Amino acid sequence: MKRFSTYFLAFAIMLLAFNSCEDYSKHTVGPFNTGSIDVSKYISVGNSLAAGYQSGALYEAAEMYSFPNLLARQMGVKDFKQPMISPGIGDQIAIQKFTIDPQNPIIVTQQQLVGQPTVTGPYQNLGIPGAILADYLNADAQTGGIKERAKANPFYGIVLGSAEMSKPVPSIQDVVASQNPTFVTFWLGNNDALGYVTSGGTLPMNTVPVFTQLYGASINSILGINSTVKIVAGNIPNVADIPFATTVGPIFKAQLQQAGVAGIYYFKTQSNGSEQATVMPATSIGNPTQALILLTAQNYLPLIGQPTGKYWRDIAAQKGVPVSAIIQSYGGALDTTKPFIVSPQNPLPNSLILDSDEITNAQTTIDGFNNAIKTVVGSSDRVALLDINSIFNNIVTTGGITEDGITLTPTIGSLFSFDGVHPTNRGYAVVTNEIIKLINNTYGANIQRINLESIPEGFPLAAGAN
Amino acid sequence: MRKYFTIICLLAVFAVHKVRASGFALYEASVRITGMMGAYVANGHDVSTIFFNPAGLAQLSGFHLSVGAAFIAPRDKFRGPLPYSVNEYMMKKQTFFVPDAYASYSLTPKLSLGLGMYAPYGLGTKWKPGWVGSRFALNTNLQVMVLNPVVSYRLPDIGPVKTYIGGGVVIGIKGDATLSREVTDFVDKTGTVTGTVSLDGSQEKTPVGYNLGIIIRPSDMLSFGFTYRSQLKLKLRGNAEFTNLPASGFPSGVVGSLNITTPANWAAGVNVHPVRNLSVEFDYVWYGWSSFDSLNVHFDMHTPALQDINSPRLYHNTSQYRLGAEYNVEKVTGLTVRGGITYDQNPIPDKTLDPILPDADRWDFSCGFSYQVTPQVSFDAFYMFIRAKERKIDTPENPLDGYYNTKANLFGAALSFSF
Repeated sequence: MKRFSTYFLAFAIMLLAFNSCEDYSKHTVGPFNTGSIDVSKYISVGNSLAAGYQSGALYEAAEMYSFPNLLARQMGVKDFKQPMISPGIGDQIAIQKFTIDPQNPIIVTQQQLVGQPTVTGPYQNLGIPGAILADYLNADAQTGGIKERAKANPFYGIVLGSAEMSKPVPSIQDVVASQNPTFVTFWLGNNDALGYVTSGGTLPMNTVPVFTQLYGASINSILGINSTVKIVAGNIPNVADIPFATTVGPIFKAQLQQAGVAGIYYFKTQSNGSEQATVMPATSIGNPTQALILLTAQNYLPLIGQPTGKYWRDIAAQKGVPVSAIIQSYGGALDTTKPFIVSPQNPLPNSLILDSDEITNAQTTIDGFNNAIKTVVGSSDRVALLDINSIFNNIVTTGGITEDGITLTPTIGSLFSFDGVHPTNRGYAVVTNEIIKLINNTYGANIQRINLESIPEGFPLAAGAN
Repeated sequence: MRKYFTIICLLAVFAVHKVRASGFALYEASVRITGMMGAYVANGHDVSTIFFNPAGLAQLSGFHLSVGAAFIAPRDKFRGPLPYSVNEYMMKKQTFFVPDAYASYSLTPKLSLGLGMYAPYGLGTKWKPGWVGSRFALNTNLQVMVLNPVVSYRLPDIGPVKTYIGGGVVIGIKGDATLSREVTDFVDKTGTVTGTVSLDGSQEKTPVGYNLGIIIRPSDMLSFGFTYRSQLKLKLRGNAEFTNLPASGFPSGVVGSLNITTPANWAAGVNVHPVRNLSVEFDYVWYGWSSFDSLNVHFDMHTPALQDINSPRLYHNTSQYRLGAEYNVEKVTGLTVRGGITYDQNPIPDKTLDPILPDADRWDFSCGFSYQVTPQVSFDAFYMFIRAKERKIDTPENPLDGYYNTKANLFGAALSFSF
């Protein structure tokens, strides 16, 4: 029977031996299955949406969650540099405090960020906030082009670099070609229509013929850099569906109806370019085909019925001209001593509202842009279309998108950051997942999608927020 | 300063993240029995059978008392997050002290009463502040202590077959839980603002459950056992504390309450004496973890940033296989040695596994001994080693993919008295 005790002793020794051995296997990342796409040099071309702009500013904590950066991470791209800007550039909209008032759960404030890139170029993310389609080839260089626009927009110089900007005709294409890309995401053209929408139809849009020509030339330039580069090209979502245009209207309508106001007056652009006070029935306000009240109106709407010229004083201060000069330019059609919005002589300013003509105009033009993009993309099997317009329309129609138990709605604080135009961290992750889906389906890849819960919300807090 | 007219989508910063309690059953409830890996449901000759199978108590005559403690030292590491990183993060080292005490008295040769105090459930994980998974787990702790009065009775023999039954009431005398994690959902000019959310709960109501068992002994060489332990519904309540977060969204004085239902379990075993002085037992143990469909935390105050938690956990039921042996060493009077092996399934699916409890299927090995110091007093000790299989989480359904490695060293000692 002695052998049993020997067994037990042997067993005890074996246990100690087990414990001391570190049998953890070594692991490395990858392999990443990117199908027929070579990701050894990925370049992102785009505007603020590619840069990772959020809540009115570009800043490092948001750039980390730009869709090109998230995509590069999921694809295993080793070297993907962005102009990380600290603390940021722009007027960031940030949380001042939370409230328990369901109508105003969050009070925000604006804080100006002034900063510089913390990483030197050349960058692989060439997203330039404010960039338009013409910038890619600097097609309008003769009338000023990039150099003219760069005077009011620091991002051209930051992203393209001083060497490029000192050339007689700088262009995004030059910076792309110099890096000999193997894969490009190209999402430009939103700003060719966005300014019209955010200005209430008072700033021009690009025209469809010009857009069509520029788009074909831009894509062909990329395809010409080498014979293998592949492109994912994003089209233009209907900018009239963004919270910047859809948030305020329905609430304003409810307030009008509660107060028994049947209609309002607004300045409507006439065919000769002048503005004339026009009636808008309260029932039309907030209707996505009739009248969209812009986010910029939210500071002025509470002044309804008051004899106020606050909007005009703000505009005058912005432009650095006397307010009297602006009022005189309306030749008696504007009298700020009359009740605001409800009097035909003190109507809602043109820039704060998109009426049905302007909504139709924007829609028709964006449809034209998207047809042009579709045609260009279809002409080469090295280009795939990211139909972000259909994807976003679908989200708006169904009221949201649910992934990983998280539902994101097309509202501020969910899919959209506080500026009502740009996505949140998780909104950008949704965009990234759509690109991953497209690449997996089109190029035989198997890139893992991003779990939305792994992405922090990233809401800006104002200094001294409590 | 400007205001939004709109109802901004509620942030619900606390609510979106799943908090999962998990496979936190402890079965190191007795120093002596852990030495043979808890394979004891068909044996039941030690006073700690109050935990393993209350039916065994009627086999004991006289008065028995056992007091012991186990020390549990788990070591975990995480490498990730996949797919883009395999950086290594070690869990903070902790050693847990788990005491137990059992007493029994035979009123008649057929009837015994007993009282046990032990920790059937517990969990403790602590990760370093700022680690890559800090938004999912920082510090988690669960301690449950119960009192278990039991009664056991020997039924009339049927021929040579002896049958024992027993049952008891399980009363929770201590239930404490801590859940904390970092909130990384806000940014300021310097980057991510790292806040912490922590909830310290204690039981507000005494939970009551029960345990039952039967042992059938057809001969001195062979016995069968079966035991059942009910769920225990824990209702915990305590203060939520927030640091480095805006007070308007995360006010002080918030009270949180959460319910945790421990799984029911049953065990069936067979014990044989193949040769003199040797006892070998095999047990099958079932845990009804699927009752853990979700964990709900309710706060008595809500803000746009602070909402209730209703998190699915989707556990599945698990099986455990225990093999243990006990041998009386004749050469050394009073010495008994033990050893055992257990294979233990984990209840957590890949999609809900998180660093609160990085569980994995595992092998447990143990050895131990008892030494009879005097006819009344004996000393017990065990050593146990747990080696979990490497767990690779690589699914887009889980927000933190990576490799988890877990091992643990356990040891314990006890004094037993018999009169």
